[in-house]
Amino acid sequence: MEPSALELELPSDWSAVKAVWDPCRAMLRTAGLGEDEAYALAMVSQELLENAVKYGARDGGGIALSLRVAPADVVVEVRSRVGVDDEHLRTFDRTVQWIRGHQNPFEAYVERLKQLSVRPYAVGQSGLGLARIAYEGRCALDFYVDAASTLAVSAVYHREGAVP
Amino acid sequence: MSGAPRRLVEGELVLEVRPGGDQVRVVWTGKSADREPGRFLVPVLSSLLGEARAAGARLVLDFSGLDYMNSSTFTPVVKILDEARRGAVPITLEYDQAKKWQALSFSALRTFETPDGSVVVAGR
Repeated sequence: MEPSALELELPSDWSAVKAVWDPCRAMLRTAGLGEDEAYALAMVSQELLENAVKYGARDGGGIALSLRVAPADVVVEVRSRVGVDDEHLRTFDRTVQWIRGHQNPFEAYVERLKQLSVRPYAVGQSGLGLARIAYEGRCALDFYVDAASTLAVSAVYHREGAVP
Repeated sequence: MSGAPRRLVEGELVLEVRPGGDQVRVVWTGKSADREPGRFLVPVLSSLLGEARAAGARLVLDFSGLDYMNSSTFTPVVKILDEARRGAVPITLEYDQAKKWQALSFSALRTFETPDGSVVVAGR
């Protein structure tokens, strides 16, 4: 089976988040994924985009979303310009490492929910979206920043029944 | 005394509030995918909790008809669970076990259940 791919160039505002659900889900279903897998990976795409819009550079010239379906895995990648606030990138890095430090992403998800429940409500970064990607989306998270200050965040899902 | 039935709408999210008997039922439909859903949900849920408390009723949040909620929406939900627990107002979250995303997301919220049944997270 040939890999299937979807590439979207999106604006760096909230309209991007609303624009990805239907095309992602449709492409994943066409590529042969089940309804639940397609739903989960559309959620992953949307959560990654939310992060890019909220914390990426506002004048960064857009966000690129790439969705590739191969026989063994599905890779969602979102690329955006790093925001002016380096603290976000450090927090992002810490959150990804923190999730990886849990044997089971369910534990990370529940722990973050508990933290949020007792914290005063504040608008802004919760880290729950990344934990949700790992737990509910069953994806491994990775990221890099290139020389042009582009942050590329990927979520890799190993397909059920696929032979590694 | 509970308030009248009413419908609260924010973007694609609809909350149908149905007070009556021993519960204030809030049926969630549509999608919750706003950038900061807490701006709408935190005061609304806090007010509904107060309404349930005043009526001596259980607050029931029924998510089974909801199509999608982003991770930012879970923060106001877990905050209201904590507020209900601290204020001794009984609360139930209902979800649809047949929807895999709901089964995964809401089963994780069972961590907030209390042995005395005041906080319940129930799949159906």
